[in-house]
Amino acid sequence: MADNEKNLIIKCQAGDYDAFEVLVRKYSDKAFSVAFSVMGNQHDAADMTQEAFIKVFRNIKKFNFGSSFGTWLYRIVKNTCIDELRKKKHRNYVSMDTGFEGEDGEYVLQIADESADIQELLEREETGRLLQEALMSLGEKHRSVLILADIKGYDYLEIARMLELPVGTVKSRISRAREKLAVILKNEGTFGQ
Amino acid sequence: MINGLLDAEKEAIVLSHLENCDECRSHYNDMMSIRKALGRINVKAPEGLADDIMRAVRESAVIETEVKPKRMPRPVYIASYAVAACLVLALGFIFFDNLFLTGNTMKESAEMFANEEQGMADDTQRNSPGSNYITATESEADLAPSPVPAPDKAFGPESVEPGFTADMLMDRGFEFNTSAFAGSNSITVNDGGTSLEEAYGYEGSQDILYVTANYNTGDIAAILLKEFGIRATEQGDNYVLADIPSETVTALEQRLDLVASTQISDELKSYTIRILSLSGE
Repeated sequence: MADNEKNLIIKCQAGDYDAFEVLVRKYSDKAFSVAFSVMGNQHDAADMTQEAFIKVFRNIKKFNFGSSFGTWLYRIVKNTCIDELRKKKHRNYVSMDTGFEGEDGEYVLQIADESADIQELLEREETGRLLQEALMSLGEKHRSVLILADIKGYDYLEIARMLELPVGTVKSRISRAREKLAVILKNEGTFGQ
Repeated sequence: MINGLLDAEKEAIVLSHLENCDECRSHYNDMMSIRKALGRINVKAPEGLADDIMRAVRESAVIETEVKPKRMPRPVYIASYAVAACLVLALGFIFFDNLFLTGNTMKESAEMFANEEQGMADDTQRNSPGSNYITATESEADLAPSPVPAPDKAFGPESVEPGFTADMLMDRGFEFNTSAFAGSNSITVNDGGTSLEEAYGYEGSQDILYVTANYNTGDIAAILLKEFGIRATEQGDNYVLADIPSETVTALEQRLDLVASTQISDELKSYTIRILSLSGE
């Protein structure tokens, strides 16, 4: 850990908001990416990112420099999200209210095309919602690596660091996630123009 | 190939195969289509997220300040039992390590456990709930950097109440796996679940927040390997420890009893144990 960051953390442990703000500005984008990879939508991801940072600030006195700050933060983000997903699952509810936003804004759910194949489906303009639903059908472990790799564009090493997984696990999960997504799209891809 | 990571030679081999294999070509095209479609999705953090976070952090600190004088409700007390209980469980692993791997007698191990317990109580005295709160009104002296306690030293079993039972935990959403692997020499260790905050309806306990935030599957696997010499098989969110010696299961049950889990029924031969205070840090 760089001395500068260590000094910032020490200042945070003394209650220095300005020091914490430096860390927030440095890490909030990646923290959001981790949250989005688990939650699958921007609104929840932003909420969970915020909640995680509040936890981090409250607990930063206990940060013992045993890992990098980023590792600690991402773990808290991930666990905050998983807890939230479990709460939602408990309520038999998964938020689908915020669609992915493509270049032209939010995608729209369409219905009915029993003969759809994946390539054709995915070439259409309105596939965002379809993809979102398919992604949310994946388990969190597969969804998170796929989003970080294919949507957010992080490389394997970075994903491994963010999710505290071996690189080999990241690779295999991404491949498996794409295959699962293909199966889901084939089975559920009854969408049309 | 799909990720563009092959060198030219290998890529040529794959391309050649794809030309002659309909099945692989179809699969490749599917995967590429998915990758491209996902790549077209543009997800960015909301504008002003960092500002929103800082605003929330500051507001949260103000709220902490306002509620701080009321910080001794029963839920805190109960929650600390849970944390303490888990600490004892965690210590149990160390205990087992001594018992089974080093050949210590029960008595020796119990004495070691008691010594650790005393040390933990001392640490707990220093780190009692609320003592680490960072608020807008604390004095500079209060906020001065202090040695950060190791994660597994943050709690002590001093507040375990006689009669505290596993049922009390389960009633509050704490997870004991009651279904899988019954009757066999196996234990499941869960890597998450209902947070203690949620389970106890108590918000704002930093100790609880900390423990819920500082473990994950990788940690648990490492702990099991390190403390038990057991390689765990991942199964969903659980790690399955099959074919472990029955005396280890028995000893674990005794440890649970030590925490006052006597009401765990006989048919439960597997337990989902949340290792809360061993973070692997």
